Amino acid sequence: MEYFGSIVWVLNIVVLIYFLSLNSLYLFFTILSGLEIRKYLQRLPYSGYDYIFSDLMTPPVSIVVPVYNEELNVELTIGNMLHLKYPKYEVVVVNDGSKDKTLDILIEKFRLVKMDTRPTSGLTTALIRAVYSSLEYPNLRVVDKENEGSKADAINAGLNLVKYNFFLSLDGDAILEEDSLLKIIRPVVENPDEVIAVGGIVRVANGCKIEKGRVTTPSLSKSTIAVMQVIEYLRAFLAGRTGLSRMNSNLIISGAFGLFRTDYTKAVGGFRAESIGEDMELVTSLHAYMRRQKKRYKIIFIADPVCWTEVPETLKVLQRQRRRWQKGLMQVLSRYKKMFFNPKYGPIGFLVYPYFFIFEGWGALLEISGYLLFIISFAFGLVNLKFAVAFLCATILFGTVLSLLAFILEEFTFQRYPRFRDMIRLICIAILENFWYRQVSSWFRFMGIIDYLMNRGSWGDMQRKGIGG
Amino acid sequence: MMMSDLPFQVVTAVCVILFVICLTLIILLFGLKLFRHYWDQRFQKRFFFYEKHISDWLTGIPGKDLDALKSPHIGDHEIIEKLIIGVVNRFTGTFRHHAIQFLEFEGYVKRKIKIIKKSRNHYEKALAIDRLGLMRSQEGISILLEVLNENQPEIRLLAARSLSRIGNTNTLPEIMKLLEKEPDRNVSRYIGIISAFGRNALIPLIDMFNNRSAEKRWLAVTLIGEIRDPNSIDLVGKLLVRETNSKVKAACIKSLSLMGDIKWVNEIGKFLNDSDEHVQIACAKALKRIRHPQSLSTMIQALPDAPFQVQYELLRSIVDYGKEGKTLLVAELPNSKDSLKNLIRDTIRVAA
Repeated sequence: MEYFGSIVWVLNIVVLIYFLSLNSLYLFFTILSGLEIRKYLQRLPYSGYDYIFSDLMTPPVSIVVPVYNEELNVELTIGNMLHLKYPKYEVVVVNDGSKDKTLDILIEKFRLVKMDTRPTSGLTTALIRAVYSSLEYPNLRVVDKENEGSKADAINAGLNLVKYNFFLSLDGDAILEEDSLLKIIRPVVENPDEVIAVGGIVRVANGCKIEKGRVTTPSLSKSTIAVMQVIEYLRAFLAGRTGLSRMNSNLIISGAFGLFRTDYTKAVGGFRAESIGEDMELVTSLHAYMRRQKKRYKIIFIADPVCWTEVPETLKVLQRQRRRWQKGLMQVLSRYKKMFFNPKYGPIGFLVYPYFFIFEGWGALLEISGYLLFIISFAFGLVNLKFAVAFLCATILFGTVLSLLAFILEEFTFQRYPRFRDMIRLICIAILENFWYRQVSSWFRFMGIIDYLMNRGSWGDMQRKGIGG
Repeated sequence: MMMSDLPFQVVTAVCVILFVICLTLIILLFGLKLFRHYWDQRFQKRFFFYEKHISDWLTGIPGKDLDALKSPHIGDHEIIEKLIIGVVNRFTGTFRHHAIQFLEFEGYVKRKIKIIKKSRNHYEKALAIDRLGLMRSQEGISILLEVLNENQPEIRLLAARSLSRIGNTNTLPEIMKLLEKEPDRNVSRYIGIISAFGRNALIPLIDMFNNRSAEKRWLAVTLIGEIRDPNSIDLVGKLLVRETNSKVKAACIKSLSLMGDIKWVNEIGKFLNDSDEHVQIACAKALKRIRHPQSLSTMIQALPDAPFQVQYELLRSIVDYGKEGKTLLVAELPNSKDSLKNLIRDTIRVAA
């Protein structure tokens, strides 16, 4: 029995060390993010978007928008994209074999006519049925293709048609702010030779007031799950990715809102069609490619350009989403395992990939089993009170600290939720989410790992309420 | 296998300290919010004060109100700079003169020159160059001329644009020299810059008609069209006849139509049968602009065999001629292929 008790004790210590390391790393990234955002904000008064981006400096951009069964949102979101503040851009919408009226709405509302043009070269994709041009908007084209079950394939079909050397990958239900494109292109303007990809922040649109396809008043949703995702997104984007960006080691730029260089994207074979985490896959392969070619490059994340998107409001839909994300992450991690502690990849090899592998990838297994082990050990008196307090502090209190820091970072910088009521609610949720949401989220990730190991699961449909308000 | 409790106590203590720091920051945050609210109100008052003085100044009492702007509070420089630059670019004559003087006296111009000389940040430098042009101060000319020799094409381009904004014609030869050296891919970006010099740029542009680079010939023709100098019409027409490059041909056609002379309308019509689609499209657009009745039949004749994009442009041009154009199109419907029929119907519907 004493032998069994010792093993349980050691396992508990391992779990405690795991949580401490995970949260300390988060804290480190949050501090880095704070420094990065401070630098960004100090330079903001010199931004001069109106002047500098008026014509000469700005590279033209192709916006690629895959849509699948988006009949509720498509008119609004594409209409919104056609009225961005940007000197020269085109919108390539890829209808990925929608079963609803998405294509009909596009044809009718944007006055599309079928063209003889076919994508001439490039990436292999599912069958293209037709390419349409708009009689009303010369910078709008629509590709109608067969559905092959992956968003990556749809983006590749759009990529074969784009005219410009930078393209913005965007979700069909995304709402851009008027100047988002100007802001996301700024790192390219500053350093045109080295910047090959830029990510912007994705924020939660649920609960916001939306008029004519624009978020006019950001506010919080009535759904607690949606608000918990607000905190989660702040932690991931504002605190996490900005910090990683400072080390040029960002492995994820969200496919929902990411700018990439077209030539390099094509050079690495575009988005991998069979991958679920196609955005992470692309960024990781870009890192690998650029390092192999020994080229100087930068993959940047900036927290200012905003894209709003609808998030799940029920645990059922959230579960599907998170399991899919986790499975995608596991696929990419396994495909690029050569990066693990590989000196060729610099900080990615030594810090970021191991972090993703241990904590973001397989970590959920340890988290779920760790929580269970702790509860059982405490119930059977196998751990003492001081350990129990330390464990709760390392998991829940430290977690709360990180959520609050993400909130503080937001409030000291961009302040998207200026109302006093929203601020108080965010603080309460930042504390509360550590008591159940994070554990539930770990459970979904755990299930995602099981899906990956059993090679099961598919995309599933996101149930939308429509962002039109 | 129990170990000392000290590490657990340390973990607990560190977490609690971090939590207390967070709470303190949140209290600070709320305090700051309240302070900001108060500060914003004060700032708004001060801002309106500036605005009021500027509007007074604009209604005719310059010198006195300039003094009111001379001791700005720290942090307000950016706003004042934007305000005055707004005045410089919105008005002419005395108002502009006084505003430029203000920017010079108060060191705003020198500050930009310093950034251009010292900043290693490509972006900040670009912005300073751009702003210097918007300030329209003659003080900025010498540094901008220096910058014309920079390696970065965007920086050179911005310097040229700023010089064009300042508008000193003595700088035009330097810009033309720069343009001569620029690689073809950058040439198109000089359109707005040179056109800002207006008729002063005519002679160097006409000289450029014989340039070996098609891009530069294209630029010259395009600008001549924008300047709309009637004396250059024949020169452009002659260039159109001898030109081999499609892009330049298209630009010649556009320029002739912009200058509005009907002398060359027949010649333009012939280019509807050109082998290049862009030239054909330029023709269709030009004939729409010139609106010469004779052009209608030429366009109708070209319609059936033209590629899709050209058909589309031709239809838009024909419809633009009004009732006469639409009648001809309706008459053409029975003889057309299905795809053309659809396009004709659609274009007429849009026009309606």
